Amino acid sequence: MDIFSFSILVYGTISLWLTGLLILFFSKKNIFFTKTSSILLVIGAALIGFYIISLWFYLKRPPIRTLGETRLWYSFFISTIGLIIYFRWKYIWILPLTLAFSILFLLLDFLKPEIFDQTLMPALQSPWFIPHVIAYILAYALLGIAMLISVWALIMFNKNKFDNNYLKICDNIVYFAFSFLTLGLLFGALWAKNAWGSYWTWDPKETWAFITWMGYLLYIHYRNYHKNAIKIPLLILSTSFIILLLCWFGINYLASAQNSVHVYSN
Amino acid sequence: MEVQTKNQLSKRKLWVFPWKYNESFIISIGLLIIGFLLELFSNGKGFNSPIWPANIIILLSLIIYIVFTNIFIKHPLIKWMGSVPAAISAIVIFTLLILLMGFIPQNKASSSMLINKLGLNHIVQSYTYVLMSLYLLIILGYATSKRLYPFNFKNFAFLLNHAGLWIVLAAGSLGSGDIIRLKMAVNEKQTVWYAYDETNHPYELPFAIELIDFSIDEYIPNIAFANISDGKIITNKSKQKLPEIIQGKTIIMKDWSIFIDEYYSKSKMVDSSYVLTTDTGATPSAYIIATNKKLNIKKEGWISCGSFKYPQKLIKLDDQILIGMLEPDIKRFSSKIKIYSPNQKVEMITVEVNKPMNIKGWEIYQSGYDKSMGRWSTLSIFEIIKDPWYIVVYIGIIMLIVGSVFLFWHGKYK
Ligand code: HEM
Repeated sequence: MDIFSFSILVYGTISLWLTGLLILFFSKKNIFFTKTSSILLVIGAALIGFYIISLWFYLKRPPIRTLGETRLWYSFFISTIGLIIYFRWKYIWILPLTLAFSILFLLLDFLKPEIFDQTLMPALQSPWFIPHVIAYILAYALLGIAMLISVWALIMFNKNKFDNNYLKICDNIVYFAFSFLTLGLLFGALWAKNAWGSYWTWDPKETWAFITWMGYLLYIHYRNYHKNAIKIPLLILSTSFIILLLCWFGINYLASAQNSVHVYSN
Repeated sequence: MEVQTKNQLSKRKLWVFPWKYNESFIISIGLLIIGFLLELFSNGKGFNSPIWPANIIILLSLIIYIVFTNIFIKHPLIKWMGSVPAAISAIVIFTLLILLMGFIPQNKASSSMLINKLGLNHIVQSYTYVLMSLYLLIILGYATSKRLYPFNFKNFAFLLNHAGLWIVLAAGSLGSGDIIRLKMAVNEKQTVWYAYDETNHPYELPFAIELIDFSIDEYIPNIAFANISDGKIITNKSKQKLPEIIQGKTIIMKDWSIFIDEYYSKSKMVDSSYVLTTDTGATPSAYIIATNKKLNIKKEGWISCGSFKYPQKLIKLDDQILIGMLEPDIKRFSSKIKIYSPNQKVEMITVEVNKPMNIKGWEIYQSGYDKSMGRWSTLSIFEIIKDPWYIVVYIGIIMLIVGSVFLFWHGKYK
């Protein structure tokens, strides 16, 4: 499970997906080719899932502690969700978007390996740990997709090719994601109460998580009230994702966050 | 359609009902400015949270006031309070305040006088924060009660989310003044019934704690190369984690092959070698044989991370590289304690991190130990907390959890 088997995963997944996408785009709706491409794409995603499970066994703890490990889950979820959306609604354009995103995260791990540390400090040994992190990563993956669609929709809007379905998909994804975001936040609060005796201490990571949550809350309310608005909700959605990224990675570099309990150890 | 509303907005006179975004944002920003002014003139003394029974009176009056005005007063002002423009402006301005908190380091003096004077380096204790939270609470309260009466089952998920959040915010902030948070340090075989608050005032507890045993479990230590020049650990690029020290294992690092000939998890130093022991202060140690095929060098000897009693022991492999053992990470620490209380039998319990114990309405948390003694610490530090409002906050959290599941299940509300 060192970098060697990880490189097999990265090369394997990338080549499976590229081949699958090429076949799909040149298949001209031929059933045999579309089936083949689907199988290749699914195997590519399954490979990441398999790698995560074997890493779990190897580390003897869930691989959700370092940033590198969370990126692995992100790659897995974002590609799986992209595939589900493709199979369910037949949007072909969702595939290159989500798979490219997923590959980007795999490559980040590949080029900047974190030390996969086997230990888990006492505060992290809690039954809330897994639901908390998984809920967050799932929400992040969904919101990443919503961001991609919103940017795409903004471009289409400027080209006067806007289709109202874009916003409808965004709504569905955001409602889905927001429930996970809320669950992740609440599980975190319950965990903190159990570990330190307070639900919420406005630790920098918590502060940024709250701001992120408010961003999407704003989207939900704005969309609900201004049913015909297009540009503003799309802008809220893409801006909220920038805040989300700040919360996820930026925290490690902010002056205000130097004493956060959440800054991942490297 | 949107363009049309915008035109209407710009033509509409300010402060003519129904109020929309302009009025909403003027009010929100106005409150923000009032908050800053209050903070400026109070000289940053901070705000004391209300305590029992003031907080419950405030809470109940707030609920009664909001629900009654909402039901009986048909003024457009009340309608505005529960409207989306009011909600959006409150959310945006409150988030802006929190955004400042995200960028400005909190709880330390800033080099900028303005930041200190406006309370921006301790936002959570500032008047601005109190005012804006109260405003958000009132707006959210009106939004909630709008759908509360007349009751309709269709609004169930809406109510779970909005009332749940209202309860969490209200009970969390108004209840915080009633929280008592104490520290207690107990040595093994000692019995203590006093704990200390933040200002070091003793506080008599309704029970006493005797520490029977404090114990620490550790992980297997790791082996590491370090640069002689700066003492920094060298990580092997192609391997992602530092190897564990396991007897009989051979570890390849750079051009070196390191065989672990012997490993003791608890040992003491005798002359220049190590022997097994269970004495206080024992340290892990390992006998290693390191060979470099390229340079044809062989080095062997003991390495140890040391303890408060024994020094660290490293081996110099060549002019640049040291090899040594890292202090093992802590897996678990826990205290076995006896609880004595008047007119009640003695209870024996164990507390550890993430597993607090409730005794007579107080939660006992394992918080720390004597770090300089490491795993040989005979001192355990507890945090003892009374939070009378936690049930209310829990109810709100559970409502929000159920509300989230609804949100997930139904997608967009009808
Ligand atoms: C857990 C957090 C929240 C969630 C999930 C949530 C969700 C929603 C949803 C889905 C609606 C549309 C309901 C419908 O039209 O059927 C709504 C409406 C609304 N929400 Fe929220 N909201 C939350 C927090 C807030 C907050 C913090 C405020 C105010 C500060 C607020 C104020 C409002 C208002 C005013 C409406 C319009 C109600 C109406 O017109 O009847 N919400 N909310």
